[in-house]
Amino acid sequence: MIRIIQLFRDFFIFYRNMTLPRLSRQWLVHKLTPDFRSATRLDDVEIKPPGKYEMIVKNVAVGVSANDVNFAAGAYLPGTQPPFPIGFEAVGTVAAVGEKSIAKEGDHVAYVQNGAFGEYQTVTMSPNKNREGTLKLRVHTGPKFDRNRNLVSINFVFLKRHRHFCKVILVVVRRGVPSHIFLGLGQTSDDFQIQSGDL
Amino acid sequence: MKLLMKSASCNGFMLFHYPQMMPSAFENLRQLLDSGKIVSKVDNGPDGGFHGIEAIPDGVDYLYSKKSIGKIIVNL
Repeated sequence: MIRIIQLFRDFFIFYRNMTLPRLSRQWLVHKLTPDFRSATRLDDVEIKPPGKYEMIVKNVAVGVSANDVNFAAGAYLPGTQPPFPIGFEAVGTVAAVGEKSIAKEGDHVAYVQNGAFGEYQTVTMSPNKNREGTLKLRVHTGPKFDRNRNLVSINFVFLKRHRHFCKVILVVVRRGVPSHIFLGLGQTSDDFQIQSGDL
Repeated sequence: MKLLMKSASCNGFMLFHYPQMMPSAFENLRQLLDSGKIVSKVDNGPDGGFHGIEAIPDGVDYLYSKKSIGKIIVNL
């Protein structure tokens, strides 16, 4: 019986992955320079099916920061040779998930992972830690709010449930302590509607 | 010149070189946010904002134009 359920699930995942486009447009760094325009190029990259702990997010909005310029100059990863993807933060909708993903298709999420400047992004979130990320942060699967109803969260957030919250700032929570603000997304619900389009 | 006349100096630092200080620093930030002393702002860019993945370099230029206020986002 369990085997039948597994087969059904595998087929379902396979079918769902078939509905993804084959290619995603993605900003890649081709030359190490702090001049972002000459460092980068918009390329077509293949979308691979999600791995066990992975999800594929269709990005709706991305955040721009000075990190992007530093990263394009090779400042954060000495010795790494281009081409490599760029961009650090985005919000979007989950388009496909691996079997152990903490999200499901259709979830609206915010995340921080290298390579966010693309139409689609593969995000790795194991229940214990971000396996491929450099931050090695503990992941919480649910949002947390403080007494003033600010979203105090996670490096991974389900947006849909708190569109009506007014002041939103995303904070990574490590062992119950807010440890890293990574994305100030917006302070009004209007911001979210602007950002999220069809969310 | 302002620094020179005070014999002052200004240093940059790499955030991840100080991981042990991050929880308290961000807790301070969170309290400043809660008390309204600082606010979180989003800047979608001038003239109707940035739209489409092609506009991301425009967002980066906007950041370095020093005209942005708050988090710059680009809608895809």
